[in-house]
Amino acid sequence: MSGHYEAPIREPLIIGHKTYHDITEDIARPIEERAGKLWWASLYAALILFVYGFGCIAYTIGTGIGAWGLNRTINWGWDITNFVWWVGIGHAGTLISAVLLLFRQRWRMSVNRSAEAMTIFAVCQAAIFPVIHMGRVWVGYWVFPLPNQFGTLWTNFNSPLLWDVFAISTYFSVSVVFWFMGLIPDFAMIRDRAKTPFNKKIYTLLAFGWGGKAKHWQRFEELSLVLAGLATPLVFSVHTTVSFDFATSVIKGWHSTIYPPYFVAGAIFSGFAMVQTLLLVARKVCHLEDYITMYHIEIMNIVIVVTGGMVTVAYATEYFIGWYSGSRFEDFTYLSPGAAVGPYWWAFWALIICNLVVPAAFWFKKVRTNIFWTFIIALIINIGMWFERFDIIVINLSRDYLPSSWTMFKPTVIDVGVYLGTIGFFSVLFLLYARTFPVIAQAELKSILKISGETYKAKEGDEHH
Amino acid sequence: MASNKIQFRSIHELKDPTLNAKLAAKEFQNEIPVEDFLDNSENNSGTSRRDFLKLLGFSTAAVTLAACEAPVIKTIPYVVKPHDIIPGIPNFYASSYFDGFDFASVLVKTREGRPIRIDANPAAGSLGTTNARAQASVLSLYDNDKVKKPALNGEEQEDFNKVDDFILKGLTESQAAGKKIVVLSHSFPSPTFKKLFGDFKTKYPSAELVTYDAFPYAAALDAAQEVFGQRALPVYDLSTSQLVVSFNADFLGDFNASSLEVSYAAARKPGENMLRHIQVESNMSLTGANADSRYRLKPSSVFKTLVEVYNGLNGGTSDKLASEIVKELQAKGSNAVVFADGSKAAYVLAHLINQKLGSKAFTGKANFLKEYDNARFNEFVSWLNGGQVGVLITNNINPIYSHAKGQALKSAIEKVPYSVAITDKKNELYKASKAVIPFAHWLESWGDITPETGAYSLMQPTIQKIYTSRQVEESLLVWINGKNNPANNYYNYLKANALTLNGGLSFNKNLYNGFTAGGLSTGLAYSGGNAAQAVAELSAFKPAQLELQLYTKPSIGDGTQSNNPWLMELPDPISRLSWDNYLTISPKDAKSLGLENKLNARMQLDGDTVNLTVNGVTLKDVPVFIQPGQAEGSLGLALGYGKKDSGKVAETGVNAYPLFDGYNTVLTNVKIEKSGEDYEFAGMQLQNTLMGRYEIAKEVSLDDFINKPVDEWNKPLAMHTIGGELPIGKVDLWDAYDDTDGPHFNLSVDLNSCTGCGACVIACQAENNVPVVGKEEVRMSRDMYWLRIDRYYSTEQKVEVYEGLKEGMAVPELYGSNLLGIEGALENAAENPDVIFQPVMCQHCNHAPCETVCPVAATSHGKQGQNQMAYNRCIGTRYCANNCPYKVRRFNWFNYALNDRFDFNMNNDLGRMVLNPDVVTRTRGVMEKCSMCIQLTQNVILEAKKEGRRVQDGEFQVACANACSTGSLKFGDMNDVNSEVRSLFSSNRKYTLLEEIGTKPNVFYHTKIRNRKESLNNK
Amino acid sequence: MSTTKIIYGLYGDDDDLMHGVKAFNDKGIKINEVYTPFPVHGLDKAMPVTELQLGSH
Repeated sequence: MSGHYEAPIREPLIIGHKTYHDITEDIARPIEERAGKLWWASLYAALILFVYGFGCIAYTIGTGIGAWGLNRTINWGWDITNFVWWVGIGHAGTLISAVLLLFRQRWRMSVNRSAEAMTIFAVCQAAIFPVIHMGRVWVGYWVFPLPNQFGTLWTNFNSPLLWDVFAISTYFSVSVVFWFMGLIPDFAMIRDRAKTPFNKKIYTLLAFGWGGKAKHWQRFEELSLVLAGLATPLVFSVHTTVSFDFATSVIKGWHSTIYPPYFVAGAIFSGFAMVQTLLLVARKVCHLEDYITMYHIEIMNIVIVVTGGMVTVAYATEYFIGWYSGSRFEDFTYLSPGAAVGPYWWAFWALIICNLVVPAAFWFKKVRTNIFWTFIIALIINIGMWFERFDIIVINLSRDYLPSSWTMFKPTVIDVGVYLGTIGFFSVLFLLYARTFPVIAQAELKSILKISGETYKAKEGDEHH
Repeated sequence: MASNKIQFRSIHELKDPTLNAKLAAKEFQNEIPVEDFLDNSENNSGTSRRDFLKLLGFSTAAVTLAACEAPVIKTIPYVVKPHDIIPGIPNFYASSYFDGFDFASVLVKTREGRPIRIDANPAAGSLGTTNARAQASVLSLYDNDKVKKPALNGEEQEDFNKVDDFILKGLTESQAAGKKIVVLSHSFPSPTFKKLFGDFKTKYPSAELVTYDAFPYAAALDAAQEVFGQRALPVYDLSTSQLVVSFNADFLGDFNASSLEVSYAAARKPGENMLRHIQVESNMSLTGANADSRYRLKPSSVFKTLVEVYNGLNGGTSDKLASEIVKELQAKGSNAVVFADGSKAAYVLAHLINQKLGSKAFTGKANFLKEYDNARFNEFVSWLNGGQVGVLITNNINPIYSHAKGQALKSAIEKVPYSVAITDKKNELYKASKAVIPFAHWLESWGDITPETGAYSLMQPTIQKIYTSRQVEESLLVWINGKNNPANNYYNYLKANALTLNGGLSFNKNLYNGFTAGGLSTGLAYSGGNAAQAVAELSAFKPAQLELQLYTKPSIGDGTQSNNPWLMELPDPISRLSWDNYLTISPKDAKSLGLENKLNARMQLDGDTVNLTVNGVTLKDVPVFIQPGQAEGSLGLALGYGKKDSGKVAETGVNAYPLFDGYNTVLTNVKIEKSGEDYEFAGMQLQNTLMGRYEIAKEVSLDDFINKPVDEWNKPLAMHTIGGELPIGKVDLWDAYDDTDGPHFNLSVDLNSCTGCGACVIACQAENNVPVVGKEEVRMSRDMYWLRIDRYYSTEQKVEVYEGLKEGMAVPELYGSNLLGIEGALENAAENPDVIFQPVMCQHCNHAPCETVCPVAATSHGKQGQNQMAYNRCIGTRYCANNCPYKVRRFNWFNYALNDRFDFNMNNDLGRMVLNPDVVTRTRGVMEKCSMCIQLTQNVILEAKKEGRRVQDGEFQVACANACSTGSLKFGDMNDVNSEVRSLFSSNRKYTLLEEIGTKPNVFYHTKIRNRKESLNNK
Repeated sequence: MSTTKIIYGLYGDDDDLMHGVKAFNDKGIKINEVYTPFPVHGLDKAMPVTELQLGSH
């Protein structure tokens, strides 16, 4: 099996002397054991946020968008900030599962399942905001090109918002299919081990009658390749489209040609940060240290450094071009001297510090191989990327063309509530997932046990000496 | 005994009495056995599955139907349709707007018998122009806080019966007892009213007519008495003047009882003889904001300068500023004119200077609008205190609120045995008076006014009296002729008298025109004036550390209409603050006194408050506003605010009248001490400077305008392309619309003639049902104005690129903490800035950024050039507003109509009567903006179609251009080769706003010209 | 009468499984089906499984 030979100097992806059965046991354990106190506590916490958030949404829809801190000049605030933030977070999942599959990156196998789950849950959160930010939600369906009773009325295909609708929905559906397809054999595994009839029934349904025949496996791998091919362009298309919301406008600071690549890089940047945040917890809680190894973590940190670098370049370009243009209208864009010392200086510096300064620490192996620092920095990056979107939207709008209409934005409790609500919703989904789904693609993982499992590597190492 | 006849309904029934029962049984073949289905007996036999489904279906349908309940709107058809009212077609009536403070000859637009807008009356020339208050007065008619019923001794009456009995009794009694019968009214220049009062006096010889005005022009009238021997203000006409020097005279505002803006604007046409305007003042007034050269001096120094100028003209002066002004005055001679305000002596001197110059601006006509006489009023007060007043009839005034000694008057009035208040509010006077007669709004009244020499203007009701109200004339008739006398008809009385005054016009013709030559013929001529004494008085005026100058705002005026939400929300043209009056102070003084204005996290203003003590009278917690351009050592405070018991809106602000003792607008014995912090102002615009973006509001000095080529001061933008340099219009991403067929509308805005008065803003609000949002929402920067007037403070030296940024750093209130530590690059300059006003409405771009981004195409381009907004297609993503470079789109954050949270005129039936039925009110969640009054232009087109003719130039109207008395706003059809707007388009002063974005607006601007020699600037 | 014999093979390791499959193929014994809990590379070729018409590696 030369094709599957891997140089012994490569770090093992599965450590601890695992047998196939050990893997099965380890993956199935979180699902078959009873949930711990910690899990229940965090679920309750998440539920509370979730309920509060949806109360705030109900209030907004009941009284009007005036419940938020927006004004005549700044017509988007936290709503679209959160939308872009959540969509961005989604990106890592698809990247890991699709692009890395095409590149045959084996290390993806232990993280792709959770990464994709995160993608899907994040996109769910993202989808909430474009809906509730509408002044008249009840006629929101008009954004779909439906045959309608309004005579010749049709959607405006020039509008980036409409492109968003298509981009997001496509992205969501493809991700879901890809994710579920990968889950089928693992569901089957759980099904075969299930003891209570109820669990058996559920997992039987989910497993789609998987038999594990050679043919099944062959089809399975074909299909994952095809879907990966489909999903790959989406990784780039979605955030490109989102960036068009700004890039195609005429507002200074929005009207910027480098937005598409810059947004995609930023999305992957924040996506991986979120994957780190979640996996570092999951791996502790579900005792998966042997599968999500320091090697995995380090690789993902490297991805963060690279995409972070792209983002840095984008920032620098924006700042320089703004200054170089010599246009007084550029004095106060979100990356400009005006922003740096202006009333939003705190937002500006939050962006710079969280996205440029802090992640640079990952250049050092010591930091990037340190669980604690990885977790902290990942969190900071998540915050920083939120600020990036906030700055782009709010700072640019608050200092637009005519000084007479300059204002500033301050969120209301409702703004905050809605945001926390989505975080709660996201956590609820992820917690339930961690308890009921196999969080690691065990079948795939087993196929590489012999190649990069620690034991076998050791063996091979001996043979070659 | 009961009869046993058989009642049968048909012959068949007679044959077979059981027929009915049978038929009934058959009638519903298989009726749904609801009962045995609903009762929970074990064997609910009769109920089949189908019955169940029927029930289910029925109830579902019922519930569904019940759920969608349509709003119930009551409509009442005409039983007999009035011949002159066609539903949907507006009627216009010529009338006179007069509320005791303002006068204007106007056209009233009515729909189905409701007045809904006030238009200027072109026939009346400068007397036929409408300011913000005139425009808004239609809403005061529908004021829900009005007195709705007459009252006697505190209890409301259904009719006037008892009230009249009471008064007639009082009249005869006090007549017998030889007590005074006083009619106390605001200035009332109505010849017919005067005549009527004459009749009243013949009936009751002890009757006296006394005038009381809240803002009385006492000094001006006394000066006129001295100089012209008449208590009437001189009428000025600036149209041929070349120089106007004003000493604290707000002649575009309340000075001289009528604004001079029409002739002022006419004289300021750019060119060799353009009127030059020098303003020497303390407060930053609307007039000062328009000046070519403005000098900030505290009131005492303004007086001194005036004296020096007088001396300079008669002999010589050492004062630098004065001698410069004198030089200019002498150069212009009779083409110059001088105005002064603040004290009698100042007026006298100004008159005498004009006399010496032989100023042509002095027309010799007299303005009769103000009649107050201090001596006379004091006489009345002495009667009052002496208990000699038997009957007191007050007409639409409230001295208890507006007189400095109000409380003293209150107790005195309460002592009057028969006191009648003709009032529109349940205010202090209402409570102090025995009887109350609801005041009839001018739109409900007959009347005539002689505003000035040779001018006669009629007032006619345009709506049936809404409540049981009665105008003073009708009351007088009743009290002369007794109740239910056929002679008690003021219409006939007026008709008879008008014929003697309107120069032989038939009454109906006169009504039709509204305004006509006639009335009084007496004019004014210089006949005296003691210069020495005036000079002495002014020289003796003691300067003080702090000097307070009281003023009236273009919005609220003397406070007569202060319960009018439109006016209360209308931002002050200078400070751009709405819903407040405040103490204006210069930045330097504020610093030295440790008073601050800070911006909060929403970029709204928080100010300190002070306790203001003037001659022992203290006003608590007056908010302080730091006003660039305010003279050091001077303070300003607006009158007319803080009315109690006159409606929620009127209570806004502090009442400054208690300081207005002896009607001195200039007060010297002033002390202030800081009393609090963080008073919440509601600002419309918090960034005061252009931040170096001078192409937004262009201005150029007259010399440059005349002598330098256009490219130096109004260079059209060009873009470097691969095909060389091209004008911005030629470089385009989009296909042009075909606008050749039918009209193509353009709006021209001339920054040179815009005085910032705000009449257009109110006109727009009235025409388009723009909601009032209230102070809290304005403070959230959520005003709903479709048309706003931006005000920028400019500075002398043009700041280079990035200096613009410094400006930003420098304006202290802009950035709470000045991180760069750049100290006031602008601050010093900003102490006496030039001011430039810029009306901004939807620019109706031919390539509109808003149109491309709307996902549902709710906003799209109109055939006639408008950028149209389909409210009921809008889903409220607000993307269009974000992408609008001019930020003219307004979002309905809440329901502003029928919402207790916004308890203004749109929240009560009466107030909603002002709504224009041609324009929908917008609901929550949709975007709205200027429509170029499409309802008006379409109407014109349809009319022309019906008559089968082309639309003439000037027929097309929009509310704002209509209301603009200076002609700054001009609207018209570009496809009409000889339309005015088209000729304006080719002017070399023309530019479009933010041209470089390539939006190709259908609104264009004209560069402002400052008539100034740099040598004169003491900056 | 039929003398068909059926062999059930149970393997604990995928490499042994592959050896087995090869051995059977060499002896010309038809392999009906192979069940595995995870994809075993080369198995589809070795059996062989009919190709999916999606073009493959």
